[in-house]
Amino acid sequence: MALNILVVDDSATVRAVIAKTLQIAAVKHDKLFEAANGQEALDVLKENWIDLIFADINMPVMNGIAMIERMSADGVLKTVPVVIVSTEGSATRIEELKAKGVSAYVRKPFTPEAIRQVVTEILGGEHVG
Amino acid sequence: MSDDPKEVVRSVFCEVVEKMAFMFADPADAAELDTAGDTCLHSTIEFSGALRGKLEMMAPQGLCVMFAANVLGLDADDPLCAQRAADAVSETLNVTCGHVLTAMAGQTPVFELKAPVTNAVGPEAWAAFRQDPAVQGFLVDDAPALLRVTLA
Repeated sequence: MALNILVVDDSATVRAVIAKTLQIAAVKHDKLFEAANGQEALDVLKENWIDLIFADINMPVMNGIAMIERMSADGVLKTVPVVIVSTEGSATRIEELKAKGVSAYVRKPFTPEAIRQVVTEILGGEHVG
Repeated sequence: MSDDPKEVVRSVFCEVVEKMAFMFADPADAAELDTAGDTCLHSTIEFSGALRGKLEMMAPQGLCVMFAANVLGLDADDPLCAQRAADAVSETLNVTCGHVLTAMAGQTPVFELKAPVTNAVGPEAWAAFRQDPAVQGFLVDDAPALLRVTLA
């Protein structure tokens, strides 16, 4: 089964780079949704089944942490795996995010191999070519 | 990694540009770098936490378009590259800032980074910026770029 993936970042460039990286990493996906902040992401999640989210932390309107907190309060959304893709390198922040339910953390700049690895770890090898 | 902020910025910026945009940055004398009158983009990101301050980058429009082209994997003459030039520079600065802070303060402190603000500026702004002794010059694939870190 191909995945529905949501990419959440206020930079259109980063969203495009993640989309291209998913192709290079041979991650099998059906639909790719985009959101420019946490609120837009929650709106997408209301209307669509999403299997995996790649999200930034620092975004206007609603940041990635607030988005994860809102998802955690929802019985269905809290089961959707979230991979944080951020420039931040604080181990303290990463532990906080994992305690909130984040599945994995990828630091920018990232490689296709890093994306491929987290998808395999979270969803299994059948989703990568 | 050095405790000297300028040295940290120099090292991190060269590494980030290579990894993100597949371009090579070499330190250069800022006072001798010229944009030949090109419009430039000036991007600023503010940070707070264990360290407080801002990181700035200024680069001619042509280099910013090349950043976008290389990051997106497109030809530089694709119209999307000009549209995304400011976004690409903002993101380059954002990533550089995150790595500079970790290099300077270690992995324990948590920093808050504001969204980068990027504006077009004229050659006179470049001329004034490069005169600041705190500004560092680079040649990125032979195009000039200036960076400055300011700690409060």
